[in-house]
Amino acid sequence: MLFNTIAINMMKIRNHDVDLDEYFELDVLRGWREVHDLNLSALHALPVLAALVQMDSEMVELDRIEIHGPDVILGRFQPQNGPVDLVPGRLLDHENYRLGVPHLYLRFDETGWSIRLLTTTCPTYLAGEKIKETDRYYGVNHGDELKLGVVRFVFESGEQPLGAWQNARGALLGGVDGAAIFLKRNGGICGTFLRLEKTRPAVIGRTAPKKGEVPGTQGWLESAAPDWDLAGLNERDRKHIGYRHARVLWVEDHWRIEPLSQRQWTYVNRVRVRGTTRLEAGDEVGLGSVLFYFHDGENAHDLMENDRTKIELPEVLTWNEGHASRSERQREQAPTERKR
Amino acid sequence: MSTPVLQGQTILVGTERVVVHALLSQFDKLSSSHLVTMEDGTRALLWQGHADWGRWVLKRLQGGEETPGIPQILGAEITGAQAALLVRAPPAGAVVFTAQKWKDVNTLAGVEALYDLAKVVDGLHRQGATLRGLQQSELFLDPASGQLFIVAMPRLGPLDRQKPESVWRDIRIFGELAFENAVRRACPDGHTMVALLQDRKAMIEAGLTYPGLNQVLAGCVTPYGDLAYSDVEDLLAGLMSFRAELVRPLRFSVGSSSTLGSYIFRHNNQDSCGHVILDSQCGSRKLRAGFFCVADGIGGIEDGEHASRLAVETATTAFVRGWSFYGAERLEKAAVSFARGVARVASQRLALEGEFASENNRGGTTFTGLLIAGGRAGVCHIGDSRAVLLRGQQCISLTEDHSLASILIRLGELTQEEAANDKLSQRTISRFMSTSNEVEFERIDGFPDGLSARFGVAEAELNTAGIEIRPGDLFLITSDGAHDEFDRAGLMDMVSRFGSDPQQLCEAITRNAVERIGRDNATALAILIEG
Repeated sequence: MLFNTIAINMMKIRNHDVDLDEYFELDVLRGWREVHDLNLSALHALPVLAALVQMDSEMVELDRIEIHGPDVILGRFQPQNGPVDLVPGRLLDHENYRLGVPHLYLRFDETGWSIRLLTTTCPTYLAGEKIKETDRYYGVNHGDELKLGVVRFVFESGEQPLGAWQNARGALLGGVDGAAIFLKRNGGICGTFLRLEKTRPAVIGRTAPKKGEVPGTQGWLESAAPDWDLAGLNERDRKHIGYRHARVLWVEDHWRIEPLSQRQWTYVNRVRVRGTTRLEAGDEVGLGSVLFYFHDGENAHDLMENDRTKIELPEVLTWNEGHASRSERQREQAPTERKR
Repeated sequence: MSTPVLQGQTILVGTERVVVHALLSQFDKLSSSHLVTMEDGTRALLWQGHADWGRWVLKRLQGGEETPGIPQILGAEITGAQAALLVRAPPAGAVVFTAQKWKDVNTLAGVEALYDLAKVVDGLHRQGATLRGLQQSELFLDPASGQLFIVAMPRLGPLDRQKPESVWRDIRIFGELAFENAVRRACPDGHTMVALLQDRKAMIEAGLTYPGLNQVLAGCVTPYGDLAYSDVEDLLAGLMSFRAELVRPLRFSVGSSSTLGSYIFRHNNQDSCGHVILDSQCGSRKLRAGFFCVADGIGGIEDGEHASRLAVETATTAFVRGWSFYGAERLEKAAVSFARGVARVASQRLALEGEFASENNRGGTTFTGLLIAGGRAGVCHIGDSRAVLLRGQQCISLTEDHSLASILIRLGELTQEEAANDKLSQRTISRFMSTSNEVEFERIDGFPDGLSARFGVAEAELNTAGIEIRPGDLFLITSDGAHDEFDRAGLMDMVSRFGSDPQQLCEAITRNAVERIGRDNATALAILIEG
């Protein structure tokens, strides 16, 4: 076969939405056991600020994407474009093909919700009007229809004021004295976290078979179980988590993150990092498509209003299938340029 | 309303006006069952009898709707000493039971019909009711399916479980019917049967060659003795083991062929294919299960070959693991789910290879698999290899290509004809098993949309339990190097010539690819269900 592929990530096919566990344990078929941490899929700890309700052509609800943060980027995930906060999970191949990587930035402040376009190649309609300009915000109201590519959503603003969200978030972070990595889901920390100890580096990854446990693995290196096992994340996210993905450690008076996986990328504030990188309170860590919030209780200044302060909006892309959007060089420079 | 009623007479039962069609059975002067036509034209049964009987039947049958086969009451009128009940009639194909028609029913269908009928009797017994002896004249038979229906219950009354005779009276007919259907002769009377069952030589001369049948006969012939069935559950178990003796697992014959192709710049064959067939005989239950797959490697020379081989090896191993843990019966109930699970595990194995064996961390593969377990088949599919089912003159696609062309067609940016000429978008695949990421379960396809009507099953069932296979079915799995070199007419032509020999068919398909100077590796795997 000629090698020519388009990478389409994160797809959920509607009519095959069957839970396999009802019928068979995949562990039996694998011949080794995966650890599934139920905390990873526990209810979100922060209030819902808004929702995008996916509709079919007859305006029947297909899916509901709840937004748990005031600053979120929506789109599909491509490693070279970095993680996004919201990934519509129930799109067919062709619907995903017309979704931007990323597509949209949604912001909530005193004036309400507004959106900004992050793509020029995927058509976008707000309340029936095509929107094109990428350098301005468009206000969006409860009940507005938002068509992204060929998929229709209805925007629903939530009941909770921003203050309630900030209080809930402050209470969650304030409950942890030392340093911790908080899992983010749908734009906000969801309540699940890994406590960090200065004396003991923590490896984040997921369960892998032991050396020799399945055929053809006799020559592999021995690897210990990770300190935080993310195998229990949903299928769309866990596929981008390396078996030994990254290590968080305390070295020379600073918290640092060290990427371990050759295949799955590690990001700090949505910029890829290749070597050990210093973490500061309030930094956002990305492992594959999954976002985390780095909390350092000793530097309590991270309890700020939202967790977006260090992240710049990505450049608007004229994106083509199969090509990296930004040059690697630009990305490589980014970590050193970050303001401390 | 008066008794007796006459054919052609129009009478009123409650508020329903019905026309009397035919007398089905007459038990005593007051008790009878008639076939009638209701005002909307549908058939129904009119049961007449004593008022006490009528009240008893109403009380027992109105709660029995969960048990299929228990007659449903449509209307009732009880006046003075008489009762008239309107009861749902058996479906249109069913006719008055005759011994001749019953003998013509295939034995397996016959046993299954007796099992369903026993379920009805069991349901009545659970309600505390007995038929006090079911008779052949109180049955309808659907000669096409063999199904049996009760059309009269004039003696329905309370069941006394303490008396062995009261259960036996309702199940003795099952011994008679089983004998008549399997041996195709009239059933001897009880005393003769008891004598027969004690003489092994006589049994064989009488044609009693199924051990399971002999058990049923011994259980039903008398209410006394060690072998007698004490309740309908014993009868159901007996019929079940008789059925198991009759079921013969389907036999498959399999062929496969793979070629490098005749393109001189292509040095290796990146296609892999494999299959496993497992037989089990547990008790009297025989089941055959098999997993068949084709994988077309993508990437550098070594990488594609390694990826497709690893996918096939892992998938067949996963199938065997699942089969040994769950057993073929469980696989049969969820053939598609299981096939997709096998592909899911294979895809994870590739991703592990990418991370842990750095020298093998490139490349990927398509994967199309077929699972056959007992009487059912399921598919799993990622990429642009294909599975088709050839049934009679029909050629049914069991997979949909995951290609850019399919996406552009769905978006309305390409027509089918344009896509056929757009080689680039055809060859650009949108899903495959990769060494960099596992494929999530949701992205591994089962059967495509639109097949449920064709196979006469609900969409949800199609994508869990899969399709029923039939003798003569021919399944064909091919890589793109093989199916790109023929159209549907070309395929049907090859099938008509070689369809009875899967190995010859596969060789013809790969030879065809080589003769057309196919630029790609070509692989074909064929499975013929021999029945």
